[in-house]
Amino acid sequence: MNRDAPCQDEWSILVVEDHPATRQFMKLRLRKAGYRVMAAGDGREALEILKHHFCPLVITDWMMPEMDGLDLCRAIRQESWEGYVYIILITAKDSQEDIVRGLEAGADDYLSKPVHPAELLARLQTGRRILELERTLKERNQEIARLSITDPLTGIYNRRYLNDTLTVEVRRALRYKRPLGLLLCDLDHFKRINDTYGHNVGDLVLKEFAGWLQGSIRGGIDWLARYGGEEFVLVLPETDLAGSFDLAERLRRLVAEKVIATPAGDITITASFGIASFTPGGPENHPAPETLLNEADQFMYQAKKSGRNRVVGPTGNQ
Amino acid sequence: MGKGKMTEIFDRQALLERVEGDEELLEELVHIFLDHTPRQLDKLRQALEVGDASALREQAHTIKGAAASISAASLMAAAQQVESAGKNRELKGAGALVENLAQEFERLKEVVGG
Repeated sequence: MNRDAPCQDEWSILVVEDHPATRQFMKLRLRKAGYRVMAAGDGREALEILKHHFCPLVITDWMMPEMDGLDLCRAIRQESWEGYVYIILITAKDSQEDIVRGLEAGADDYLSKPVHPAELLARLQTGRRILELERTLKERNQEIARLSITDPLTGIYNRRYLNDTLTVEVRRALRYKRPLGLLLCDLDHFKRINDTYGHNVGDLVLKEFAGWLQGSIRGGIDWLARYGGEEFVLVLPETDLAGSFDLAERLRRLVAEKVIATPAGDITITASFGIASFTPGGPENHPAPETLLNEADQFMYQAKKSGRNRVVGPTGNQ
Repeated sequence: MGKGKMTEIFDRQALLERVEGDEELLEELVHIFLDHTPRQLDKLRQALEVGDASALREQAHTIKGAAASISAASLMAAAQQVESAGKNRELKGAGALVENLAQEFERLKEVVGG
Protein backbone atom coordinates (compact mmCIF):
# COMPACT_ATOMS: atom_id res chain seq x y z
CA MET A 1 0.00 0.00 0.00
CA ASN A 2 1.31 3.43 -0.85
CA ARG A 3 1.05 5.54 2.26
CA ASP A 4 1.39 8.76 0.30
CA ALA A 5 -1.54 8.10 -2.00
CA PRO A 6 -4.00 10.99 -1.62
CA CYS A 7 -6.96 10.15 0.56
CA GLN A 8 -10.09 9.27 -1.37
CA ASP A 9 -12.13 11.97 0.25
CA GLU A 10 -9.84 14.56 1.70
CA TRP A 11 -9.50 14.33 5.47
CA SER A 12 -8.97 17.50 7.45
CA ILE A 13 -6.52 17.30 10.25
CA LEU A 14 -5.66 19.86 12.89
CA VAL A 15 -2.09 19.93 14.22
CA VAL A 16 -1.74 21.63 17.60
CA GLU A 17 1.88 22.20 18.54
CA ASP A 18 3.63 25.20 20.04
CA HIS A 19 7.08 24.57 18.64
CA PRO A 20 7.33 25.99 15.11
CA ALA A 21 9.85 23.40 13.88
CA THR A 22 7.76 20.41 14.96
CA ARG A 23 4.60 22.10 13.71
CA GLN A 24 6.13 22.76 10.31
CA PHE A 25 7.44 19.21 10.06
CA MET A 26 4.06 17.69 10.81
CA LYS A 27 2.28 20.08 8.48
CA LEU A 28 4.49 19.25 5.52
CA ARG A 29 4.56 15.53 6.19
CA LEU A 30 0.81 15.22 6.58
CA ARG A 31 0.15 17.34 3.49
CA LYS A 32 2.44 15.04 1.54
CA ALA A 33 0.34 12.12 2.79
CA GLY A 34 -2.74 13.77 1.27
CA TYR A 35 -4.33 15.35 4.35
CA ARG A 36 -5.71 18.83 4.42
CA VAL A 37 -3.79 20.32 7.32
CA MET A 38 -4.64 23.18 9.68
CA ALA A 39 -2.23 24.22 12.41
CA ALA A 40 -2.54 25.94 15.78
CA GLY A 41 0.04 27.01 18.37
CA ASP A 42 -2.05 26.18 21.45
CA GLY A 43 -5.36 24.74 22.59
CA ARG A 44 -7.29 27.98 22.54
CA GLU A 45 -6.34 28.70 18.95
CA ALA A 46 -7.17 25.09 18.08
CA LEU A 47 -10.73 25.43 19.43
CA GLU A 48 -11.24 28.61 17.43
CA ILE A 49 -10.14 26.87 14.23
CA LEU A 50 -12.32 23.82 14.93
CA LYS A 51 -15.37 26.03 15.38
CA HIS A 52 -14.90 27.54 11.92
CA HIS A 53 -13.51 24.54 10.14
CA PHE A 54 -14.40 21.17 11.55
CA CYS A 55 -11.56 18.63 11.50
CA PRO A 56 -12.33 15.01 12.42
CA LEU A 57 -8.68 14.35 13.24
CA VAL A 58 -6.71 16.29 15.84
CA ILE A 59 -3.07 15.74 16.74
CA THR A 60 -2.10 17.72 19.80
CA ASP A 61 1.00 18.30 21.85
CA TRP A 62 0.55 18.02 25.62
CA MET A 63 2.64 20.86 27.03
CA MET A 64 1.67 24.18 25.48
CA PRO A 65 1.18 27.73 26.72
CA GLU A 66 -2.35 29.16 27.23
CA MET A 67 -4.27 25.92 26.95
CA ASP A 68 -2.46 22.59 27.07
CA GLY A 69 -3.27 19.34 25.31
CA LEU A 70 -5.22 17.84 28.23
CA ASP A 71 -7.48 20.87 28.54
CA LEU A 72 -7.97 20.84 24.78
CA CYS A 73 -9.05 17.18 24.91
CA ARG A 74 -11.55 17.99 27.64
CA ALA A 75 -12.85 21.07 25.82
CA ILE A 76 -13.34 19.11 22.59
CA ARG A 77 -15.24 16.36 24.41
CA GLN A 78 -17.49 18.87 26.16
CA GLU A 79 -18.80 20.40 22.95
CA SER A 80 -20.91 18.74 20.30
CA TRP A 81 -19.46 18.68 16.81
CA GLU A 82 -20.77 17.63 13.43
CA GLY A 83 -18.97 14.31 13.85
CA TYR A 84 -16.62 12.46 16.15
CA VAL A 85 -13.23 14.08 16.74
CA TYR A 86 -10.42 11.54 16.92
CA ILE A 87 -7.63 12.92 19.09
CA ILE A 88 -4.02 11.77 19.19
CA LEU A 89 -2.06 13.19 22.09
CA ILE A 90 1.68 13.66 21.58
CA THR A 91 4.09 14.26 24.40
CA ALA A 92 7.49 13.66 25.90
CA LYS A 93 5.71 12.35 28.99
CA ASP A 94 5.52 8.59 28.98
CA SER A 95 4.87 7.33 32.48
CA GLN A 96 1.88 5.05 32.89
CA GLU A 97 0.19 7.64 35.05
CA ASP A 98 0.53 10.27 32.30
CA ILE A 99 -0.91 7.93 29.69
CA VAL A 100 -3.91 7.29 31.91
CA ARG A 101 -4.39 11.03 32.48
CA GLY A 102 -4.27 11.67 28.74
CA LEU A 103 -6.80 8.99 27.91
CA GLU A 104 -9.08 10.07 30.75
CA ALA A 105 -9.04 13.63 29.42
CA GLY A 106 -10.52 12.28 26.18
CA ALA A 107 -7.60 11.38 23.91
CA ASP A 108 -8.13 8.35 21.68
CA ASP A 109 -4.50 7.52 21.17
CA TYR A 110 -1.10 8.45 22.42
CA LEU A 111 2.34 8.96 20.81
CA SER A 112 5.69 9.74 22.40
CA LYS A 113 8.12 12.33 21.16
CA PRO A 114 9.99 12.38 18.91
CA VAL A 115 7.24 11.30 16.57
CA HIS A 116 8.24 9.11 13.70
CA PRO A 117 6.15 9.91 10.60
CA ALA A 118 5.56 6.27 9.64
CA GLU A 119 4.12 5.59 13.09
CA LEU A 120 2.05 8.76 13.07
CA LEU A 121 0.55 7.90 9.66
CA ALA A 122 -0.23 4.38 10.83
CA ARG A 123 -2.00 5.72 13.94
CA LEU A 124 -3.95 8.14 11.77
CA GLN A 125 -5.00 5.21 9.63
CA THR A 126 -6.47 3.64 12.77
CA GLY A 127 -8.25 6.88 13.53
CA ARG A 128 -9.73 7.03 10.05
CA ARG A 129 -10.95 3.47 10.36
CA ILE A 130 -12.86 4.43 13.49
CA LEU A 131 -14.19 7.62 11.92
CA GLU A 132 -15.31 5.73 8.83
CA LEU A 133 -17.10 3.23 11.04
CA GLU A 134 -18.81 6.09 12.83
CA ARG A 135 -19.84 7.67 9.51
CA THR A 136 -21.25 4.40 8.20
CA LEU A 137 -23.18 3.92 11.42
CA LYS A 138 -24.56 7.43 11.21
CA GLU A 139 -25.63 6.94 7.60
CA ARG A 140 -27.33 3.65 8.45
CA ASN A 141 -29.15 5.31 11.35
CA GLN A 142 -30.35 8.08 9.06
CA GLU A 143 -31.54 5.50 6.54
CA ILE A 144 -33.39 3.59 9.26
CA ALA A 145 -34.93 6.82 10.50
CA ARG A 146 -36.04 7.65 6.94
CA LEU A 147 -37.51 4.18 6.39
CA SER A 148 -39.39 4.31 9.68
CA ILE A 149 -41.45 7.26 8.43
CA THR A 150 -41.84 6.17 4.80
CA ASP A 151 -44.60 4.15 3.20
CA PRO A 152 -42.74 1.40 1.33
CA LEU A 153 -45.20 1.17 -1.60
CA THR A 154 -45.63 4.83 -2.51
CA GLY A 155 -42.47 6.37 -1.02
CA ILE A 156 -44.47 9.13 0.70
CA TYR A 157 -44.73 9.53 4.48
CA ASN A 158 -46.53 6.85 6.47
CA ARG A 159 -49.08 7.05 9.23
CA ARG A 160 -46.45 7.18 11.92
CA TYR A 161 -45.00 10.38 10.46
CA LEU A 162 -48.51 11.77 10.09
CA ASN A 163 -49.27 11.16 13.77
CA ASP A 164 -46.03 12.75 14.97
CA THR A 165 -45.84 15.67 12.61
CA LEU A 166 -49.48 16.70 12.47
CA THR A 167 -49.24 17.40 16.21
CA VAL A 168 -46.30 19.70 15.51
CA GLU A 169 -48.11 21.48 12.67
CA VAL A 170 -51.22 22.05 14.80
CA ARG A 171 -49.12 23.41 17.64
CA ARG A 172 -47.28 25.75 15.29
CA ALA A 173 -50.52 27.01 13.72
CA LEU A 174 -51.92 27.72 17.20
CA ARG A 175 -48.79 29.45 18.47
CA TYR A 176 -48.31 31.73 15.47
CA LYS A 177 -52.05 32.08 14.83
CA ARG A 178 -51.76 30.78 11.26
CA PRO A 179 -54.34 28.83 9.25
CA LEU A 180 -53.90 25.12 8.64
CA GLY A 181 -55.71 22.98 6.06
CA LEU A 182 -56.07 19.22 5.95
CA LEU A 183 -57.38 17.09 3.10
CA LEU A 184 -58.35 13.47 3.43
CA CYS A 185 -58.78 11.76 0.10
CA ASP A 186 -59.88 8.28 -0.71
CA LEU A 187 -59.82 6.50 -4.07
CA ASP A 188 -63.32 5.64 -5.28
CA HIS A 189 -64.13 1.96 -5.81
CA PHE A 190 -60.57 0.89 -5.16
CA LYS A 191 -61.67 -2.57 -4.07
CA ARG A 192 -63.19 -3.03 -7.51
CA ILE A 193 -59.83 -2.28 -9.17
CA ASN A 194 -58.09 -4.86 -6.99
CA ASP A 195 -60.80 -7.44 -7.62
CA THR A 196 -60.91 -6.85 -11.37
CA TYR A 197 -57.25 -6.39 -12.28
CA GLY A 198 -55.38 -7.91 -9.33
CA HIS A 199 -53.26 -6.44 -6.56
CA ASN A 200 -50.29 -5.61 -8.78
CA VAL A 201 -52.43 -3.24 -10.80
CA GLY A 202 -53.96 -1.94 -7.56
CA ASP A 203 -50.49 -1.14 -6.24
CA LEU A 204 -49.61 0.60 -9.49
CA VAL A 205 -52.73 2.77 -9.22
CA LEU A 206 -51.87 3.73 -5.63
CA LYS A 207 -48.34 4.69 -6.66
CA GLU A 208 -49.57 6.80 -9.57
CA PHE A 209 -52.18 8.48 -7.42
CA ALA A 210 -49.64 9.32 -4.68
CA GLY A 211 -47.30 10.69 -7.35
CA TRP A 212 -49.99 13.08 -8.71
CA LEU A 213 -50.77 14.36 -5.24
CA GLN A 214 -47.09 14.79 -4.41
CA GLY A 215 -46.52 16.66 -7.65
CA SER A 216 -49.36 19.10 -6.97
CA ILE A 217 -48.39 20.42 -3.54
CA ARG A 218 -45.87 23.06 -2.48
CA GLY A 219 -42.54 21.40 -1.82
CA GLY A 220 -41.09 22.03 1.63
CA ILE A 221 -44.40 23.41 2.98
CA ASP A 222 -47.24 20.99 2.27
CA TRP A 223 -46.80 17.31 2.83
CA LEU A 224 -48.56 14.08 2.15
CA ALA A 225 -48.93 10.79 4.01
CA ARG A 226 -50.60 7.47 3.37
CA TYR A 227 -53.28 7.18 6.03
CA GLY A 228 -54.62 3.72 5.30
CA GLY A 229 -55.09 1.35 2.34
CA GLU A 230 -56.31 3.83 -0.29
CA GLU A 231 -56.64 6.84 1.99
CA PHE A 232 -54.22 9.74 1.87
CA VAL A 233 -53.84 12.87 3.98
CA LEU A 234 -52.50 16.18 2.74
CA VAL A 235 -51.39 18.70 5.35
CA LEU A 236 -51.40 22.30 4.19
CA PRO A 237 -49.77 24.82 6.54
CA GLU A 238 -50.55 28.48 5.88
CA THR A 239 -53.65 27.48 3.89
CA ASP A 240 -57.13 28.65 4.86
CA LEU A 241 -60.44 26.97 4.09
CA ALA A 242 -60.85 28.60 0.66
CA GLY A 243 -57.32 27.62 -0.31
CA SER A 244 -57.94 24.07 0.87
CA PHE A 245 -61.11 23.86 -1.27
CA ASP A 246 -59.22 25.21 -4.29
CA LEU A 247 -56.49 22.61 -4.01
CA ALA A 248 -58.92 19.76 -3.32
CA GLU A 249 -61.02 20.68 -6.35
CA ARG A 250 -57.90 20.97 -8.53
CA LEU A 251 -56.77 17.54 -7.38
CA ARG A 252 -60.21 15.99 -7.87
CA ARG A 253 -60.27 17.17 -11.49
CA LEU A 254 -56.69 16.12 -12.12
CA VAL A 255 -57.36 12.59 -10.83
CA ALA A 256 -60.53 12.27 -12.89
CA GLU A 257 -58.77 13.41 -16.09
CA LYS A 258 -55.64 11.29 -15.85
CA VAL A 259 -55.29 7.88 -17.40
CA ILE A 260 -53.16 5.17 -15.87
CA ALA A 261 -51.49 2.78 -18.32
CA THR A 262 -51.34 -0.69 -16.75
CA PRO A 263 -50.52 -4.14 -18.14
CA ALA A 264 -54.26 -4.77 -17.96
CA GLY A 265 -54.99 -1.72 -20.11
CA ASP A 266 -55.76 1.95 -19.42
CA ILE A 267 -57.58 2.72 -16.19
CA THR A 268 -59.26 5.91 -15.07
CA ILE A 269 -60.03 6.61 -11.43
CA THR A 270 -61.75 9.19 -9.27
CA ALA A 271 -61.33 10.22 -5.64
CA SER A 272 -63.42 11.77 -2.89
CA PHE A 273 -62.11 14.55 -0.67
CA GLY A 274 -62.95 15.66 2.87
CA ILE A 275 -61.62 18.94 4.22
CA ALA A 276 -60.80 20.08 7.73
CA SER A 277 -59.48 23.52 8.45
CA PHE A 278 -58.12 25.48 11.36
CA THR A 279 -58.56 29.24 11.35
CA PRO A 280 -56.95 31.28 14.11
CA GLY A 281 -59.46 33.02 16.31
CA GLY A 282 -62.26 30.77 15.07
CA PRO A 283 -64.71 29.04 17.38
CA GLU A 284 -62.74 25.76 17.45
CA ASN A 285 -59.75 27.22 19.21
CA HIS A 286 -57.80 24.18 20.25
CA PRO A 287 -58.12 21.50 17.62
CA ALA A 288 -56.38 18.26 18.44
CA PRO A 289 -54.84 16.46 15.47
CA GLU A 290 -57.42 13.69 15.88
CA THR A 291 -60.24 16.24 15.74
CA LEU A 292 -59.01 17.53 12.39
CA LEU A 293 -58.65 14.00 11.03
CA ASN A 294 -62.12 13.00 12.28
CA GLU A 295 -63.69 16.10 10.80
CA ALA A 296 -62.05 15.50 7.41
CA ASP A 297 -63.05 11.85 7.61
CA GLN A 298 -66.71 12.75 8.19
CA PHE A 299 -66.76 15.13 5.22
CA MET A 300 -65.03 12.52 3.09
CA TYR A 301 -67.75 10.05 4.10
CA GLN A 302 -70.40 12.58 3.04
CA ALA A 303 -68.62 12.98 -0.30
CA LYS A 304 -68.79 9.22 -0.81
CA LYS A 305 -72.44 9.06 0.20
CA SER A 306 -73.44 11.88 -2.12
CA GLY A 307 -72.03 10.13 -5.17
CA ARG A 308 -68.20 10.12 -4.96
CA ASN A 309 -65.74 12.11 -7.10
CA ARG A 310 -66.38 15.26 -5.11
CA VAL A 311 -65.07 17.61 -2.44
CA VAL A 312 -66.91 18.24 0.84
CA GLY A 313 -65.80 20.58 3.61
CA PRO A 314 -67.05 22.70 6.52
CA THR A 315 -69.07 25.15 4.38
CA GLY A 316 -70.94 22.41 2.58
CA ASN A 317 -70.69 20.78 -0.82
CA GLN A 318 -68.79 22.38 -3.68
CA MET B 1 35.77 16.25 18.88
CA GLY B 2 35.20 12.53 18.25
CA LYS B 3 32.47 11.29 15.96
CA GLY B 4 30.58 9.76 18.87
CA LYS B 5 30.40 13.09 20.62
CA MET B 6 29.32 14.78 17.40
CA THR B 7 26.29 12.58 16.89
CA GLU B 8 25.32 13.14 20.50
CA ILE B 9 25.17 16.84 19.83
CA PHE B 10 23.36 16.42 16.53
CA ASP B 11 22.51 13.08 14.93
CA ARG B 12 22.02 14.23 11.37
CA GLN B 13 21.51 10.69 10.12
CA ALA B 14 18.71 9.99 12.60
CA LEU B 15 16.94 13.21 11.69
CA LEU B 16 17.38 12.53 7.98
CA GLU B 17 15.75 9.16 8.51
CA ARG B 18 12.86 10.74 10.33
CA VAL B 19 12.24 13.22 7.51
CA GLU B 20 12.54 10.28 5.13
CA GLY B 21 15.60 11.54 3.29
CA ASP B 22 14.23 15.02 2.58
CA GLU B 23 17.41 17.15 2.90
CA GLU B 24 15.57 20.36 2.21
CA LEU B 25 13.04 19.72 4.97
CA LEU B 26 15.86 18.79 7.35
CA GLU B 27 17.59 22.11 6.71
CA GLU B 28 14.32 23.97 7.17
CA LEU B 29 13.56 22.27 10.49
CA VAL B 30 17.06 22.92 11.84
CA HIS B 31 16.82 26.52 10.73
CA ILE B 32 13.48 27.03 12.49
CA PHE B 33 14.84 25.33 15.59
CA LEU B 34 18.00 27.51 15.73
CA ASP B 35 15.87 30.57 15.16
CA HIS B 36 13.31 29.74 17.84
CA THR B 37 15.44 28.37 20.68
CA PRO B 38 17.15 31.65 21.80
CA ARG B 39 13.70 33.04 22.61
CA GLN B 40 12.97 30.01 24.73
CA LEU B 41 16.32 30.35 26.51
CA ASP B 42 15.38 33.94 27.33
CA LYS B 43 12.10 32.78 28.83
CA LEU B 44 14.01 30.18 30.81
CA ARG B 45 16.30 32.85 32.26
CA GLN B 46 13.31 35.06 33.08
CA ALA B 47 11.64 32.22 34.93
CA LEU B 48 14.84 31.71 36.89
CA GLU B 49 15.09 35.42 37.73
CA VAL B 50 11.59 35.63 39.16
CA GLY B 51 11.96 32.24 40.84
CA ASP B 52 9.07 30.65 38.96
CA ALA B 53 9.85 26.94 39.25
CA SER B 54 6.87 25.70 37.26
CA ALA B 55 7.55 28.09 34.36
CA LEU B 56 11.15 26.89 34.42
CA ARG B 57 9.97 23.33 34.24
CA GLU B 58 7.53 23.97 31.41
CA GLN B 59 10.00 25.91 29.28
CA ALA B 60 12.67 23.28 29.78
CA HIS B 61 10.17 20.61 28.86
CA THR B 62 9.35 22.37 25.60
CA ILE B 63 13.03 22.68 24.70
CA LYS B 64 13.52 19.03 25.58
CA GLY B 65 10.75 17.94 23.24
CA ALA B 66 11.96 20.14 20.40
CA ALA B 67 15.56 18.96 20.87
CA ALA B 68 14.38 15.36 20.70
CA SER B 69 12.49 16.17 17.52
CA ILE B 70 15.62 17.33 15.72
CA SER B 71 17.83 14.58 17.24
CA ALA B 72 19.94 16.82 19.47
CA ALA B 73 20.60 14.41 22.35
CA SER B 74 23.02 16.50 24.47
CA LEU B 75 20.74 19.50 24.37
CA MET B 76 17.82 17.28 25.26
CA ALA B 77 19.71 15.87 28.25
CA ALA B 78 20.65 19.37 29.42
CA ALA B 79 17.02 20.46 29.13
CA GLN B 80 15.96 17.38 31.05
CA GLN B 81 18.21 18.44 33.96
CA VAL B 82 16.64 21.89 34.07
CA GLU B 83 13.18 20.34 33.91
CA SER B 84 14.01 18.11 36.90
CA ALA B 85 15.37 21.07 38.85
CA GLY B 86 12.14 22.94 38.17
CA LYS B 87 10.06 19.95 39.14
CA ASN B 88 11.96 19.53 42.44
CA ARG B 89 11.96 23.29 43.03
CA GLU B 90 15.77 23.36 43.32
CA LEU B 91 16.21 26.85 42.00
CA LYS B 92 19.61 27.31 43.63
CA GLY B 93 21.46 24.96 41.35
CA ALA B 94 19.24 25.69 38.37
CA GLY B 95 21.27 28.74 37.24
CA ALA B 96 24.28 26.59 36.40
CA LEU B 97 22.05 24.06 34.63
CA VAL B 98 20.45 26.77 32.50
CA GLU B 99 23.90 28.08 31.51
CA ASN B 100 24.94 24.53 30.69
CA LEU B 101 21.87 24.29 28.49
CA ALA B 102 22.79 27.55 26.75
CA GLN B 103 26.31 26.22 26.12
CA GLU B 104 24.91 23.03 24.64
CA PHE B 105 22.86 25.15 22.31
CA GLU B 106 26.01 27.04 21.23
CA ARG B 107 27.73 23.71 20.55
CA LEU B 108 24.79 22.57 18.50
CA LYS B 109 24.91 25.75 16.44
CA GLU B 110 28.63 25.14 15.76
CA VAL B 111 28.09 21.53 14.73
CA VAL B 112 25.12 22.29 12.54
CA GLY B 113 26.53 25.43 11.01
CA GLY B 114 30.07 23.96 10.52
